[in-house]
Amino acid sequence: MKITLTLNRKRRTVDVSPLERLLDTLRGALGLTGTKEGCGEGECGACTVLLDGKPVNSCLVPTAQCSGAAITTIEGLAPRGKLHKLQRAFLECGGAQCGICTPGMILAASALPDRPTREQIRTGLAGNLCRCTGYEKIYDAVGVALGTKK
Amino acid sequence: MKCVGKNVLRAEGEDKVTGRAKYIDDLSFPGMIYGHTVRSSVARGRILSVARDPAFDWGGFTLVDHRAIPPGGRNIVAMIVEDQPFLAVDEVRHREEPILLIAHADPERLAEAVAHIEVHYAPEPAVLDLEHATTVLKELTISKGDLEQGFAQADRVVEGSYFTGAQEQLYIEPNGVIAVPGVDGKSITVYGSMQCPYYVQRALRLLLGLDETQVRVVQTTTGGGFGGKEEYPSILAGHAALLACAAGRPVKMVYDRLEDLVATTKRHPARIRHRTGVQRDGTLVAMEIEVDLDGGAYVTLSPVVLSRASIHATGPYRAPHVRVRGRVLQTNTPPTGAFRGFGAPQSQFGIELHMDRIAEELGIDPVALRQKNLYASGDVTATGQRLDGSVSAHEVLERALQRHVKKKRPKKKDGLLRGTGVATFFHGSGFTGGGEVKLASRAGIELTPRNVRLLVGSTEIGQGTRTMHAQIVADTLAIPYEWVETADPDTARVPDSGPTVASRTCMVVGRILQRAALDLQQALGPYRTPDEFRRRSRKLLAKRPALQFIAQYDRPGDIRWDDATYQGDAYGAYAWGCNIADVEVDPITYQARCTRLTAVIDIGKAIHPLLACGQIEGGSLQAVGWALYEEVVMRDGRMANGQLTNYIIPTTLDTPEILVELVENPYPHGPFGAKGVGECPVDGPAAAILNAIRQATGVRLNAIPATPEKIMQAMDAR
Amino acid sequence: MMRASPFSYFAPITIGEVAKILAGEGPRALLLAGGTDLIPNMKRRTQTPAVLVSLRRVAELRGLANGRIGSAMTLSSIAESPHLSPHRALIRAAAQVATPHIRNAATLGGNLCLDTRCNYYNQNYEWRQAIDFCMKRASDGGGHPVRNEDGVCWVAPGSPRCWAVSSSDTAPALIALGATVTLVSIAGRRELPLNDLYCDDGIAYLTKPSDELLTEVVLPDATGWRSTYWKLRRREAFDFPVLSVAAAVKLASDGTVLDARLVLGAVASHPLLIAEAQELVGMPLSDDAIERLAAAAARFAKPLDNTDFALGWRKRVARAYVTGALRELRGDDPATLGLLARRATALRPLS
Repeated sequence: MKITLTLNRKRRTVDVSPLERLLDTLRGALGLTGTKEGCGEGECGACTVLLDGKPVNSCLVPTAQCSGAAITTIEGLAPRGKLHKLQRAFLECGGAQCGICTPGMILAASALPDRPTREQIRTGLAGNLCRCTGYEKIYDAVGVALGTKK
Repeated sequence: MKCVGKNVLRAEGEDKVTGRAKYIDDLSFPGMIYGHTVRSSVARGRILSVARDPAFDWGGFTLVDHRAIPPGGRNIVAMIVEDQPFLAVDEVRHREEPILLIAHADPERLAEAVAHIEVHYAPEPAVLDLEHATTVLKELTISKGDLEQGFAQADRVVEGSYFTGAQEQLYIEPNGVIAVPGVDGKSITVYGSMQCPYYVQRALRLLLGLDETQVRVVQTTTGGGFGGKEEYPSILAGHAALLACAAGRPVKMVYDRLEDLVATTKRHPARIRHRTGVQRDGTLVAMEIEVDLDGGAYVTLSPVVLSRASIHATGPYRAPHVRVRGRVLQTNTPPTGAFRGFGAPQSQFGIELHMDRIAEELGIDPVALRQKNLYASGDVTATGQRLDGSVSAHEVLERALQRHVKKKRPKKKDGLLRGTGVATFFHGSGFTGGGEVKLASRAGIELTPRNVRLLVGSTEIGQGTRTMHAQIVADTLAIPYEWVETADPDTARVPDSGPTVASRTCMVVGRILQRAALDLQQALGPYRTPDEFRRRSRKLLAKRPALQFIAQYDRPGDIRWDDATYQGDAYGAYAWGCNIADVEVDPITYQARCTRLTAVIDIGKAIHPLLACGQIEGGSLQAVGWALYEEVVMRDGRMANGQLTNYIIPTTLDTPEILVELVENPYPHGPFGAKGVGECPVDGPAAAILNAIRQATGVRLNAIPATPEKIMQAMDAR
Repeated sequence: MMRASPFSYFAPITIGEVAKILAGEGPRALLLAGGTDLIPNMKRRTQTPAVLVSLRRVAELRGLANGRIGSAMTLSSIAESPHLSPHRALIRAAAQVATPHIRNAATLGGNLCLDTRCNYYNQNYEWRQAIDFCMKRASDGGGHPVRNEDGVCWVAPGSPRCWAVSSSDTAPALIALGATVTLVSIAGRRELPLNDLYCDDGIAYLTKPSDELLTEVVLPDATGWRSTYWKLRRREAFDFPVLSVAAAVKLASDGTVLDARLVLGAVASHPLLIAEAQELVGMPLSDDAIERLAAAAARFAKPLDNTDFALGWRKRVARAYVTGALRELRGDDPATLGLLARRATALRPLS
């Protein structure tokens, strides 16, 4: 079936089987491999993308359900060649180590309100597992990017 | 301009934050097909038959069993002992042992086909846990002094047994490789997520009977390893290579989470027994220690895990009379393997719980007991190593106490039980004993007109290898960090720098790179500025086509080790650490939670303080998970909780505040004084947390994970 | 990659069209809303519908006004809705489902109709095949589990029934709040007290026929009521409940209980409404009264060894949890209710 959606501010049409996962459509037909698969069951958050501005697990979303929706992936967070403030802060604060959770983590963080408290950061990122950082540097990065921390 | 000690930007960081970094599953090759492994469904038995459903259409499938191994190749995974096959021949020794490989262009068809293959077994009796294991795969003894004499001097003998469970590394990127056969049919290239490309190359050479020019292994961006991608990728690469050779096409094998959890290596379950002679004032006079590890069905790396576990079993404490007996026992479970800390977290969990038990029996404060016995410069370890120079056991404890107390908060009256626990520990950097000499690692520098390129087989797996190595070389050459780049770890391009394990990448490999840099400097002649460096480089290059400076490991002159007697300098240097943990236990639900964890660790020199802190925070949280949440539940020899729903690691909401302080007590033979950092943070937190639970609840747990069920049972038994 | 059995896919626009498709397709059809539970289940082949009916384009299912909540409302929109703040138990339950990401996709209707769970069932196909499957089995080409006549219940071998566990967070909360649901089929619409939607069986856990669509949840006026929801799990995110307590009391100004409802979640194949809560009526919420009810509730909670956590532990905590939830409703300082109270009641809105 043909599905038209807005991907990173561009209209795209893809031909998918009815239950194809958004994750596979993004990584396959749409050629964007920045969205990662860690478990395929919604239990790790590595595949987080924004669906109409809200973080979701793209491994649990059928592409067919995204007809007319706006999807943002890590590739579309900042204009080409530029870094989003969260990307810059993750880079500067040590928020990315092995990097496999990083795209999902950054997208989840991008849905947080301005100047989030540490508690809000922890709650907003509770769907994203990281095994490298102990989360501390991720909190720092989000705090710096979103204006909580100098 | 100096960059060592500064937080320069992570070398490959921009690729990671933008999603541009290519991990193995992001890669594709023309004509690529997908591979899958058919595995044993019994824990031990003889294979009677492997049957394919004749009604199923097998067109387009490639199937491979042990008979596909080419003449000249061997069905043996190259490790320490030649006991493990790539593919079972007529017997299986554990659940999930690989038997058959199958590949197809369509992953969905592949999954369908697997349901049409039936393996019949004659099951045999299986040993499924350490408690019932009797077959010894490896045994060693470390002796110092005279144990009997030691116990004779003791006022008291304190005994205890301690248990740790298996733990999954749980890198977020599962294991995966792509094998690409050469057009000549006689060579192969394997790309993959791995820690040790040269281990994989060696395994493939033995499997396929090829030489090093015929096997090329390239590490792709790796989404975490923690030891879980040290030895296991050799097996996976072998499987993909066999399929690729049979199909004549590139084969991708990426495990899904379930397969990765049930089939790949875990931290060795351990049983540690202590019998300690101690004087009234707390002086340790005799330590008799038994370390038993569950190695699973094959030897794999267990002998070296045992070695590290045993050497660290005394903890950082001096005692005149010591005997450590270490054993690896065989069970019919998937082989256990490397995991950050490599045996030392298990054995130091034992001693750190035991120290609190001794303190309690003597009525001494646990901190005071530690202060009385901690190593100081000049002390001699159980292997007879005289410690001098960089010994910081006392200092890390003092600073941890200061740091932790400084942040103390007002007591709350909410019915929760609160406690604080302490653990002190040490961790040898680099390979044990004569390991580094045997490895004879090499690394080097290539001078190009544009910049300096590092040729190093050490892998970036998130810990910051590339960044830290570039800093070491930049400062050694007195050039900007930006001028140093790193060649991709590709066995066709970089020398064998030894595996990326054992907290050796900075201290050992960094030092080799530093020596290569000094060779380059020598060749250039004196220069005062980076610009002059550049001018001289170009001049030097004009005379010669390519300029590589490869250096080899050079044993610091004063290190000696005897493998036969287990005596000598076990490690060139040790990192020293102290954890203090605050714990809350709910008296109604028995759930324990670590609220704050202080980690003070002497790493010699922080080449990159931010990365070093990140290592310590991440390692600490892995240990918190091991202590409180992570339990591998085995049923009939197979992991029963092979999903992230039920094998649970800490989320952002389960994480303590982690306070890190670095101590820099330099090691003269490390680059800029650096020692190892990667593994040390995992050694202490579990014991500190259990000691805190003891203080909070009055019950002594001797096993982790400290689940609410265990705490309830212990509190009921009071 | 994901294996998908062959099926047809419908994306109707009105409730009427949905009802028509369901009537035509029968039990082969399954409704697809958020997909957060269905997709992993299809991957493990515990649900193998031949026909999927997407609810995404049915705008009528997404209203929220005057105590009526469309079944396709996401859990995060419910947790963040100021209109629902008087119904605290619901907000707390919705806010504690899984993770923020899953709550952004998962719907109220999906959570209410969530398949029951069991250690022997929520496994992949090969794993279940190795134990010769159990009593609960995916029907071939059907959306709903069926009884496997050859299968035993591995939790309680010899038992004539399946003991899979109701794992919905919102169901106990809404039952405690006295909610009803509206069900629509081509035969018409009917309202049903939510509690009557469930049945004490791990396989046929819903009383509604498969051709009926749950369109909305209707909440009664909350004036005078206080409610709460306590959830027990190992971690503070991701995990399904292993025990939950939903409690609601209506208090007179002098503190006398005018009405009370207590529901336990995740201890049986359906949310367990504790009738003894009515015994609180006419008296104040004294320590004694609370303890009596907690003891009664714990007697009814008969968890089996088929979820995370050992059952003895869950049973013991059930009693403590009921006590804690009722003390919270009485107005006790939450800071005196222990660690789990803090975890259970913690509500961390994003803004």
